[in-house]
Amino acid sequence: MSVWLGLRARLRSLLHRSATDARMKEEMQMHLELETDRLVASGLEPAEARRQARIAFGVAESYKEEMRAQRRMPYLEAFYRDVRYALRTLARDRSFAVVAVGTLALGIGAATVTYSVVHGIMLRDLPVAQAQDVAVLWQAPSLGADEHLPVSYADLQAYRESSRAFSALAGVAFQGAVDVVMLSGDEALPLAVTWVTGDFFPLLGIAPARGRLLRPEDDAVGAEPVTVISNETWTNQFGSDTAILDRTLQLDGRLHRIVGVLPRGFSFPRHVDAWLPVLPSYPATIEASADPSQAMVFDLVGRISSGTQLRAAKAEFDAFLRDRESERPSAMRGMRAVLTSLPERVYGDISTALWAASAAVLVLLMMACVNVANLLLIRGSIRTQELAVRSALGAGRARIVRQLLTESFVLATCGGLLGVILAAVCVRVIGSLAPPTLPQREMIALDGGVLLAALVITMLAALIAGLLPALLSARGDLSLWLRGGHAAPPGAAFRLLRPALVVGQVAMALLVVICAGLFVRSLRSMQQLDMGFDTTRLMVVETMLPAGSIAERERLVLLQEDAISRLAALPGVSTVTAMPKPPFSAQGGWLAPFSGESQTDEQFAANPVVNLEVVGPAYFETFGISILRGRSFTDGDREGSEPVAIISRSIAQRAWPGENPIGKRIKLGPPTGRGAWHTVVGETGETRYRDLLTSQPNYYLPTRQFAGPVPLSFAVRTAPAAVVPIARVHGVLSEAHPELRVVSSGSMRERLAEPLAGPRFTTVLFTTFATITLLLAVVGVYGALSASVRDRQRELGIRMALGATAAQVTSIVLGQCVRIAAIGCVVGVVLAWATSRLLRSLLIGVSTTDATTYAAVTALVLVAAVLAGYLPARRAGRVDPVAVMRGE
Amino acid sequence: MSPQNHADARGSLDLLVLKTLSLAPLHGWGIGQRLEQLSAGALEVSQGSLYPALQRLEHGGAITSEWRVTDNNRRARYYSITAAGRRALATETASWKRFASAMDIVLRAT
Repeated sequence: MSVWLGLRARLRSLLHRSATDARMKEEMQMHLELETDRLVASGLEPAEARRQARIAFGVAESYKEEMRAQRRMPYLEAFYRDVRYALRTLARDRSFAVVAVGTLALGIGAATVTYSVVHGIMLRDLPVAQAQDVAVLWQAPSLGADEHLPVSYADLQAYRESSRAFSALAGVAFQGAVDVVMLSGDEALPLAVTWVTGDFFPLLGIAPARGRLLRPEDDAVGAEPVTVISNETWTNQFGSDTAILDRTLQLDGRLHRIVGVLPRGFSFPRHVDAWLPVLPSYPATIEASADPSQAMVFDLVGRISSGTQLRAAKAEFDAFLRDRESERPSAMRGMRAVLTSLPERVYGDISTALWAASAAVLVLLMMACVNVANLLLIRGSIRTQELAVRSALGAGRARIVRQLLTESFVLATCGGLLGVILAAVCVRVIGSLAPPTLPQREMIALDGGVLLAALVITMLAALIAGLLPALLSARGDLSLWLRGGHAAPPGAAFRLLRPALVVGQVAMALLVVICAGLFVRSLRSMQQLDMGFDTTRLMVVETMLPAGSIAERERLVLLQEDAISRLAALPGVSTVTAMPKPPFSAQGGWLAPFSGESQTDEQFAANPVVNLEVVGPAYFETFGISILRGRSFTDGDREGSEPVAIISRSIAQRAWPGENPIGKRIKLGPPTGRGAWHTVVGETGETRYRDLLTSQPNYYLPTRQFAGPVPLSFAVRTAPAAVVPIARVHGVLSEAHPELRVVSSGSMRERLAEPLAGPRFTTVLFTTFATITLLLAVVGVYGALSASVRDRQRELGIRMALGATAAQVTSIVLGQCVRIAAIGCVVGVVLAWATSRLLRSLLIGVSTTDATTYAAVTALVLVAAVLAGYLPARRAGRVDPVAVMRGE
Repeated sequence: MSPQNHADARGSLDLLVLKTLSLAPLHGWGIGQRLEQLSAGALEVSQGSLYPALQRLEHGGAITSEWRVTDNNRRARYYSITAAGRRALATETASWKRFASAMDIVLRAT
C-alpha cells in the first residue's frame, strides 16, 4: 500500500513538473510568512523579522535544488523525453507515420483476430475434466468405404462390463445431433437434440451452469423424462431466462422437464441444443420390429483409465469387436475400431484450416514488420545528419539506439491500439458471419487472454521492426557523414538485405494470394455442383404436427394428400410433393444397408449404406429428378399392391453391374433379413439432396407402402414466370389444417447457402488476408525502390549528365523492379507448390497445383509490383544531374 | 546553535518528522515549531531542511499530503502519517534506541 502511494506521488511530481515546483515555492513562501509573523508578534520590526526568518530557514535555493534532484527518475525521464520527441518528429513526417502505423495496425489487428479465433476454438480447454483422456469410439467396415457405423446398445453394455482400458463408458446417439422440432409452451422451436446414456455427463465431469445435468437415474424405463440444454440455446432461444428450470420441451408427445443448463463451450456432439436420456425417450428406428438392443445405436464415449495409452485402448476395442462377431448378424461382420480423442473430434476437421490461417497471418505480420523496418531504414538514412550531430554532442551508440527503439515502440503502440480496435470490429463480424457448423463459435471473443497476446505481439513487432534499422542506422563513420552532408551509400551486406527483403515479401504475397485463389475456385466449383435435381423455382416448407393431435396413420396420410392437392391448386404452382426431411440434413436421415437379389453375404457387407426416401408420386417431377429407366411411382403403388422401389444408378450398378435393374428385386437389410423384397420399377441419377458435398445413393419407397412416419413437409414447384408468395402457401395450410405448424419456409436457393457457409467463411477469410498481404507487398516494393533510387541518385545523375534520357533512366529503375519482382514470383511459386498440398483436404474440385490459378496470380502480383515501382522510377527520371554533380 | 544539537543528519530528521506527525497532522512550519516545543528547545532544526525530508518521506509512502485552509484562511499543505509510516516509526525508534545504548556502552568503557 505504502509503496503504491509513494510511487503515485513520485509519478505525479514527475508528470506535473511545473505544478510541483510551484507548490514547493508556495510552501516555502508560506513558511517564511508564518515565521515572520511569529517574530513580529514577539516584538521585532517587520523588516528585521523577515531577515531573521530567512536566516533561520537557511538557503532556500539549495533546498529547492535538493528536492528537485530527489524527484528525478533518470531512466523514466529519458524515456518520456524520447517518447515526446518521437511523437514530434512523427507529427512532422505525417505520411510516413500514417503508412507505418497503418501497416502495423493491419498486421497486429490480423494477428489478434486470428489468435482470438484459434484460442476460442482450439486452445481453450473444453469444460470437461481432462478432456484429452476422453475418447470417442465407433466402428467401421474393414473393407469398403470409410464409413462411420454405430455400436449397438447390447454391445455398449457388454463392453462396459468387460473393458479394462476404459474406466467409464457411455453412449451418445449415432452421428450426433438430429434436427427436430420441440414445443416450448405453444412455440415451435427447431432444435438439434441427441440422446445420451445416464453416465454420459458424470463421465465427462462437467459442472453445470444452472441446475443439474443428466444422471444415471434419469436413464431408466419409466423415469420422468428430463432434458438439459446448451448455453447457447438458453441465451438465444430463452433469453437467459432465470426461471428456465421450470419449463418443459415437448417432443413426440412427451414432456421433458428442463433440469439444467450446460456451461459455455460445450455442445458435443455437433452443436447439440438439448440432451435427452436414452431409455425414456429414444425414438423407434426403422428396424423397430427387430431386437431393441440392436436397434438403439450409439457412438461410445469413454474415459481412458490412467496409465493406459490411446493405442492400447483402441486395440482393446478392436479385440472386443472381433469377439462379438459370432453373435452378430452377418451384416455387421468384419468391423474395425475407430477411436479419436474428444478434443480432436470437436475441432479436428477444422484444425487444418485454422493452422493454415495462423500461418498466413504470421506471414502477414512478418511482412508488416519488415515493411515498417524498411520504412524506418529509409528514415534512418535521411536522418544521418541529425544522428551524427547527436553523436558529436556526446550520445553514445546505445543511447541513439535506445532513442530509435523508442520511436519504433511509439509506432507499434499506436499501431497496436488501432489494430486492437480493428480486431474488435472483425471479431464481431466473424461472430455473425461464422457458419453454424463452426465448433465452439460462441467462444470466439476478444477477452483478456487475447488482449494480452495482442500486447505481446505489439511489443514483438516493435522490437523486430525497430531493432534492425536502429542497429544499422547507428553504425558507420559519422564524421564522414558530417562533412559530406548527404546519405552515405550502404555497406555491401546492407545492399543485399533490401532486395532480399523485397523478394521475400513478393514471394509471401504470392503464396497467400495463390491460397486465396484456390479457395475461391473451390468455392465456385462447390456452388456449381450438379445437385442431381432442379434447384430453381422450388419452395421448401417444413412443418410439424404436435404429437398427440392425430395418431392414426390413415388420417395422417389423408392429411398429407389433402394438403398436397390444396397447394397444387394454387395458381402458379406446377407440382407439389411431400418430403420426409428438409434438404442437407445429412444426419438424421434414414440410412440403411441394402442387398440386391443375387448378392451374396460378402457382397452385401461391401455394399455402401444408402439414403432412404419415402416419397409420393409427384416427387420426381417436383424435384426435377430424371427417371433414367423405368417409371415413377403412381397412385397404384399403395397398400396391398406389389412392393416396389426406385433406386439410383449407383445402387443398380452395385447390385447388378452392367444389367438393367428394372424388374429385379432388392431389399433393405441383409439378404437373409426380415425385410420385404421390393421390385425395382425405376432408376434415377444420384442427387446431393442429403449432403451437398457427397452425392448419395438413394432408395425410394412409396409413402403408401411404407409403415414409418408420414412425411409432412412439402416441396412446391412453381411454373416459369409465376410468382407464388410464401404467405399464400402458409395461408392455404393454416386454413385447411391449422394444427399443422410451419417451422420454416423458403426457396431451395436460400437453403443451398447453408452447407456452403463453412467454405465461404474460409474463402472470405483468406481473400481478406490475401488483399492485405498484397497491399503490404506493394508498399514494400514502393518503399524499397524509393530508397534504392535515393541511394543511386549520384549514379543516375551521372548517367543523365553523360547523355541518358529520363525515359532511359526510368526504364533502368523499372528494370530493377521487374527483376526483383520476378525473382520473388519464382520463389513464391515454388513455395506455393510445396506448401499448398497441406490444403488439399479443404479444396473441392480444384487441385493444389491448379495451373490457371498460379498463372493468374503470378501475373497479378507482377503487375502490382511494377505499378508499385512506377512512381519511384519516374522520380528517378526527374533527377537533376546538375544538382547531383554539384554534390547536393 | 551548537553543532551537536543540530538534528540535520538525514536519518534522524526523518525519524523526528515522523514522530511529530504521528501526534497530529501539520504543515511544514508547524512541524518545525512542534519539534522545538517537544525537545524543549534542545533540538534546533534548520527550517528549510524539513522540506527535502518531507518530500523524501512522501515518496517513500510514509506520509501523505493535502491542501487545507488554516485558521487565518490561508492555503497550507498539511502532512499526515500513514499506516506504513507508523510501522516505520516503530522500527526506526527501536533501532535508534539500540544504537544509542550501544554507543553508550562503548563510551562508558574505560
